[in-house]
Amino acid sequence: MVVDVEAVKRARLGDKESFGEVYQQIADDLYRVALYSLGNAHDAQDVVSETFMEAYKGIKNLRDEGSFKAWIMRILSIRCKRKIGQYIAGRNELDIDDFLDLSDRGPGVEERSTEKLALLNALETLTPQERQIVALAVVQGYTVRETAEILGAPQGTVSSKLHRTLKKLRAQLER
Amino acid sequence: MDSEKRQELEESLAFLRGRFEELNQDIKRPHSLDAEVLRKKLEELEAAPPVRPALRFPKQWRAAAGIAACFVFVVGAFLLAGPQSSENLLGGAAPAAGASAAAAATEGTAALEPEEGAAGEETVTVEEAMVAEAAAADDALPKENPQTAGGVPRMALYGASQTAYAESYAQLRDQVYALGLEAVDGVSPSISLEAGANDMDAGRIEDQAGAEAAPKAAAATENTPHRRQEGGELLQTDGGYLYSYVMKNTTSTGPSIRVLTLEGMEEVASIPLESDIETFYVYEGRLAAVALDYAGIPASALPKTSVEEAAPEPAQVLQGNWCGVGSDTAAKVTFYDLSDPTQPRLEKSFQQSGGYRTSQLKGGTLYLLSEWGVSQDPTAQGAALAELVPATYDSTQPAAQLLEAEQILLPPDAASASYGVLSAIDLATGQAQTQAVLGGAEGFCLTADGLSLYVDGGGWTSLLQLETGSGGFSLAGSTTLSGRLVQMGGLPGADGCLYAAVSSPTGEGAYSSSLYLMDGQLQTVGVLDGLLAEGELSAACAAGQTAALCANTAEGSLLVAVDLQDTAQPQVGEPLELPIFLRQLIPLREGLVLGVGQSPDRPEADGGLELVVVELSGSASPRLASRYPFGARSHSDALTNPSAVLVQPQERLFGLPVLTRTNAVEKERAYMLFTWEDAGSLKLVGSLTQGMLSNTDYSAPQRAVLAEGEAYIFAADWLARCQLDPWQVLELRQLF
Repeated sequence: MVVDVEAVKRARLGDKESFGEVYQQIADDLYRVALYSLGNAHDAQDVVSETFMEAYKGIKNLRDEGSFKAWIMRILSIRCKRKIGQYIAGRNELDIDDFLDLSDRGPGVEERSTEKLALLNALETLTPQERQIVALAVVQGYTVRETAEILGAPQGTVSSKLHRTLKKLRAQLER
Repeated sequence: MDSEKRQELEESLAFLRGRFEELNQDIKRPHSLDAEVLRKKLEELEAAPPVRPALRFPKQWRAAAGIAACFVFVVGAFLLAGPQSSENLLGGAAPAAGASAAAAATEGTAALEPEEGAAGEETVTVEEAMVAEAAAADDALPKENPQTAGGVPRMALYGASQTAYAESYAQLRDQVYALGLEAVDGVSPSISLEAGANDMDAGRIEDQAGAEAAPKAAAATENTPHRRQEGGELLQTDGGYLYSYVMKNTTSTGPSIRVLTLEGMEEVASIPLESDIETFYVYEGRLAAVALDYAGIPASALPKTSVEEAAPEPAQVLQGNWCGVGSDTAAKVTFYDLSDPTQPRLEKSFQQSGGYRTSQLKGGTLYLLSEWGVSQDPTAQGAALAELVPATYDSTQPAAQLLEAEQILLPPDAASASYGVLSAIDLATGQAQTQAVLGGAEGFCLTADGLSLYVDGGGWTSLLQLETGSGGFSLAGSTTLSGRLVQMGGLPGADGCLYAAVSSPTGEGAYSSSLYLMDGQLQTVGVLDGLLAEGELSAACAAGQTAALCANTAEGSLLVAVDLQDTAQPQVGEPLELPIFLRQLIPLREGLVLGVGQSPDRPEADGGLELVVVELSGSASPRLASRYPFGARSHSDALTNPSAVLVQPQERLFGLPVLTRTNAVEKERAYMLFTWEDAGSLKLVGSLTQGMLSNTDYSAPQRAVLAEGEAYIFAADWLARCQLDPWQVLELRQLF
């Protein structure tokens, strides 16, 4: 989803409505990344809500309106990282219900459900940190450079991790 | 990344994106995250009367509370390049001697041969070095060296054999511009070498060469081992008080740092914090809280100079699209006076550009590393200098300071339009010395005389050595290692020698594990290659004079010990096969290491946690001294975060947080303390379980410190005081 740069400019000057507007343009992306990273809707809602608050407080200092999306995604990734840190133990379980639309009754629903479950089971073998990289690079389509900037990690590290993680994921799905 | 890996990545992305598209259609954002709903929530918060938390001194207050102390150690290493032979610097590959060393390894003795370019080599002029380098470039460059990106040498301007400080903002602008451009038709942009365009200071090079000819006598004993750490530690003690970080959560009014007496765990003060922090340090009556500041350095404090004003020389136009990615975050340190721990006093704050990466305290100096990306095209009309150059901001000063060009290092293998920003901050005064390195930095390792900064190039690792002194940092040496750095640190009693354990892919899914030994200026003393016959290097450490390296194989791990008492004649033992996948190696004492890993029966993320203790016996094969499994699907933070393990060598104790399961549903979190015997056998001292506290997420015991012969164990809201021998939980306290 493209963010309206003019709305970002107005939001920087304190226009709450414009802030709401730009947030709405990116909210689905934020929620999706949080859900994949944390594995459940409850925690994903928490971090997206916290991200909204932090972004609202900090947007007046945003110097380049064009980088709003990367900037807010960075805030989200940090909040996700903090939440993951609070889990203490390897909390890799995904709440499947939070990912699937159980009202789907159309033709081919069984096959689609099987494929989705296979993907979710494969995702469960990843750590939350690995899922975070997948959410950004695969689901959201960020480049390695952009993913590295969002995660605050070196590009080379992200590149290696992404390569290894996707290999792992693919091996699970191709079994 | 080489082209084979890149293609593999592209194929995986194409394969997976389709699968995710189906799943994404099912994901519906809840109504509670609609802009309207969140705006109302925000308005309610804004309308509520401001709560001004004051420092509290509840001398009589006693409550069962937990203290969460955030102890984030971020360690970065910054290494500076010095004169090197072109082959060493360009390739960083093991010299031919490495091959003989590998062959000798199986015989139990390896003779390390010094690499070319060691101290004492004749000085060469810049021009001679660049000619030699150009001639050797094609053969010497490793596959993934960014200098070969698109076949165009990117850093020829500076001479790949030298890392140097920038001479002007114009030079910096041009470099950043070239790094921030996306390749066009597969060809990376480059800056052509113009006569005089980069007139290196020959005097500086000769000075450095002169220094190389007489290497410093190393202090040897104080190199701080590098330990990769993520996340925050939560508790510290100065021997008189406990300092515990309580983050904001559903049961607390944090974030804050609570101050409690050791005796009786009585809360005597609470330091309110503006936001969550990454870590904090306590040293001689001072407390420094380190945080990631989303808002960054205030725009109003930054100088308004434009790039054009600071760099009037015209920029060279290159083909490519600007795609720099940056952010406005800053790393922030807030200082408190703890002369009277019962009345902590806020003093000031210091910020530096970039997202917080790591920090470490040595003596009274805090070393802080952040990474800052350049998001705006510096050649664009009206571009601000503050968008090109990192800044620092001391809250007691009227304005922020932009780094000068000569405070910024330009390594020849810089691969991105970003900076690693490094400060040495005197905790007593809050005064900071700051430098930056183009290309970013991942971390650093403190050494006897300074620190080593490292940059992960995704196939190579660049190391820069900085010496620290009263005048700040100075460049001392540099090198490039072929492969991914797994661990580095100092070897005590080895004349300042540093080791670096590196993993390099050799094709078809195979890897080579190498051990580099370097002096304090990063001149390579020698390299041991092919230390592990199979598997990818997963962990390494030095336990005294012996290095241990471990690789995961299909069925477990291989661990090899290298006796480095004589660095010219290292002794390599036969590898030990271990029936677990080792993730961390942590030294317990000289010649004894703790391995944290997972059982091979379930190698996915929830494989059973296991501990092993291995005795490293020099030239003989390492010996498995003990093994402690925790059961199926057990887990620990320590698997990915070595700082989660508390080690007290003098008391022969270590502790870690553990999650165990009695069945698929029932699980228990605990903090467990162990002791080890001379022969390495383990014995459980005691454990504090979550059930003893409460059942919220914030009562999982996470970290511990030892003081006065007792263990203080905490969760996010709780603190427990425990007697070690015999084990007894003496007191529980909850902090709100």
